[in-house]
Parts: sequence; structure tokens; C-alpha cells
Amino acid sequence: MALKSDLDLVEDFTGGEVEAFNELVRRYQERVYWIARRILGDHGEADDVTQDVFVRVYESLKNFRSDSRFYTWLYRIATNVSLNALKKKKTKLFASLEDSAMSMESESDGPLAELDRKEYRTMVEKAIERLPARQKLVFVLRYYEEMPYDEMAKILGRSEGGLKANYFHAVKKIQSFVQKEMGQ
Amino acid sequence: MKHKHITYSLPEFIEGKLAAGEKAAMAEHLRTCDDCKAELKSLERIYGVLSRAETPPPDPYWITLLPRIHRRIAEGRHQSARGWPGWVFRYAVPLASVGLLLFLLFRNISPEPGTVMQGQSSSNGSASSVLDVREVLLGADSVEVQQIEDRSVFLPFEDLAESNNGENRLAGDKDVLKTILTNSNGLYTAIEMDMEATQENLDDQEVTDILSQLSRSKFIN
Repeated sequence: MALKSDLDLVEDFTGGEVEAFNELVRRYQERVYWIARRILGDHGEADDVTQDVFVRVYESLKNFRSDSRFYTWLYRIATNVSLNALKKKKTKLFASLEDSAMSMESESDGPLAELDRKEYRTMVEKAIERLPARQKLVFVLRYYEEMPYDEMAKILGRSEGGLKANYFHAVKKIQSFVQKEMGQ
Repeated sequence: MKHKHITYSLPEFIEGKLAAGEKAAMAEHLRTCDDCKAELKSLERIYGVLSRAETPPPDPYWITLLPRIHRRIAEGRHQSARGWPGWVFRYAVPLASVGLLLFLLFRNISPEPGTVMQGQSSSNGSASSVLDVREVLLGADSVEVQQIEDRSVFLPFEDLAESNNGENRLAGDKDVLKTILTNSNGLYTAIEMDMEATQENLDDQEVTDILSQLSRSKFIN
């Protein structure tokens, strides 16, 4: 049996088939989760956002207009909800972030060769955590999702040139952070 | 192509994502541009550090996700049935917040009673353009609100803050506020920002009063 398209599933759901919604969740749950996880940097928060995104999809799918792709529409919701969660998180955790920045400074010694894989990952996660929201979103979609700039432009409503600049500066900021961490 | 645009394409060059023609042009450029050559070397190092390995979510996360989503959907309905209707915090409170925001803002910058601002009639008042925006808001149906939500990704308040040297001077800049409010993205941001404040700061009576006002609008049927 041929795999149903997203649009078929949307139509089935609006026609009353809840299983069609379940299939959409199964199809996109990992992508939504990883967008949230990479923006928020925490499994628990990513889990909360992932659920929230699909609840919103469930509630508003009847308003989805088929002249845009479901995938694009879903990504808009996922990025919106993730950024809003990030905004709230930054407000709440401002003080603790300052603390962690201070503790990181004291742990910044050690050459590149001595860092194991886990330490690399932690360092990169910290670098991404500190990116401005817009750059972080562009970096996540481009680097991890490998999303083409033209697709990203449709989702984020920005020019491709602007997104390229965002991505470049995000990489440079990560680089700067990593170099500082490694004492270079 | 401007030099900075070439520089911005260096990450794609490293990732091997440039089209054949662009790749050849970049290679040619790198032969003659020492700055870009140095930048390329520097970027290659950070790409070496960037690891795609990440800690996966704990098992059995993916199996339990769908039931938990459905539980949350059911809980939302349950809460809506018992307490405030779902649209209160989804639409009405945010819209009321915008109204409240505008009221507080323009109360401070409106002229004294009887004063006529330059270029305006006394009957229009200084906040007439904002009232128009509010009318648009109050007349929006759920589909239109959804469309506004769908279009909004970035937060114009960040732009505003950047344009004001890091200071959010929204409250003192009427023109900027008007621009933001007449832009759908900005509108959403204003709603989102003030919704949080509203939920935290208004008591039940104030919410009731706002809802009472909104109930006379087309927005709440």
C-alpha cells in the first residue's frame, strides 16, 4: 500500500480520522524534537515543547491551508514554540547562566587533544546555547537539519542572503567561544 | 558578487553544498584572496570540533510520546470545560493585553484634554491610528489569528532593541510602536509579550472586566 502524503493525512484528519494525526506525529516527531532540543539544549524542555507543538497542530490543523506544505507549516510552529520557550527560559535562568559562565571560565584549561568526545559535545552545546535566538535557530536548521536556504527562507520569512549571514556569524561565534574555552 | 557575500558562502563550501559553478568560482577566488583563505582555514578547524554526535532521548521515549500528546490534548479540553474557556488565554486575553498596553502607553503620551495635535482633528485624537489597529485585531477570526501566528517567527522586539543600541525604548517611540502594531509579526510579538504580563499581573476582576469589553466585539461570538 502506497504511503499517504502529508496532505492526504491532513484531509483524513479534518474528515474525522484521528489515526491520520497519529501518523503525522510519528512521521515528524523526531524532527520537531531535535529542533526543540538543539534550540533549548535540554531533553525535558524539548519534550515539553514537542508535545506542545503537536497539541497546537491538533487544534489548528483544520485551519491548515493546502497551498503551503504541511512540513513548512509544522516547522513554523516548531520554531515559534521553541523560540518562545527559549525566551522564557532565558528570563528565568539568567542568574544561573551567569553562574555557569563563571564556572566554565575556571574549567577552560587543557589542550584540544585532551578533550574527549563528550567534552567536545558539551563545549559545542554551550557555544550554541549562547548564540542569539535568531542565529541559533538558523544554525540548528542549517547545520543539523541540513535545510536548504531557500526552504529556510520560506519558513522563517527572511532573505537567503540574510540567512547565510546569520549562519556565518553563528559559526564564527561558536568558533570564538570554543577557542576561548580551549585557551587559544 | 560582494566580497562579504563570498565569505558568507565559505561554510557551504566546506560542507560541500555549493553548486558546481559556485564551487569553481569559490576555488578560483580562494587562489587569489588571502583573507578568505585564512578564513577558510579557521572555519575548517571549527567544523572539525563541531560534533554531530548527541545524546539520544532516553528509551522508550518515542513510543510514549504520542500517548502523552493525546493526554495533553484531553487535559486541555478538560481544563477548558472547567475553568476559563480555551479561547480566553489563546485569543481574548492576548488581545485584551494589547488594548491595555495601548491604553497605558497612549495615556502617557496623549495631549492634555482639549489639545489638538498637529495634523489631526480633535475628534480623531492622538491614538486614532492605534484604535484602527485594535479594530482590526478585534475583528480577526480564529483563522486570521492563526495566519498571524504562522507568519511570525522572529521577534521584532529584538530588532527594535538592536536599533536602539540595546535599549528597548518602545514605550517612548510612538512611530515605532505603530510600525510594529501594523506589522503582523510585530502584532503577534506584542500579544505574546503582554500576554505573559497579563496572566501574571491581572487579578480575576480585571480579567472579567476585559472579557466583558471584548464580549461586545465581533471577536467573541
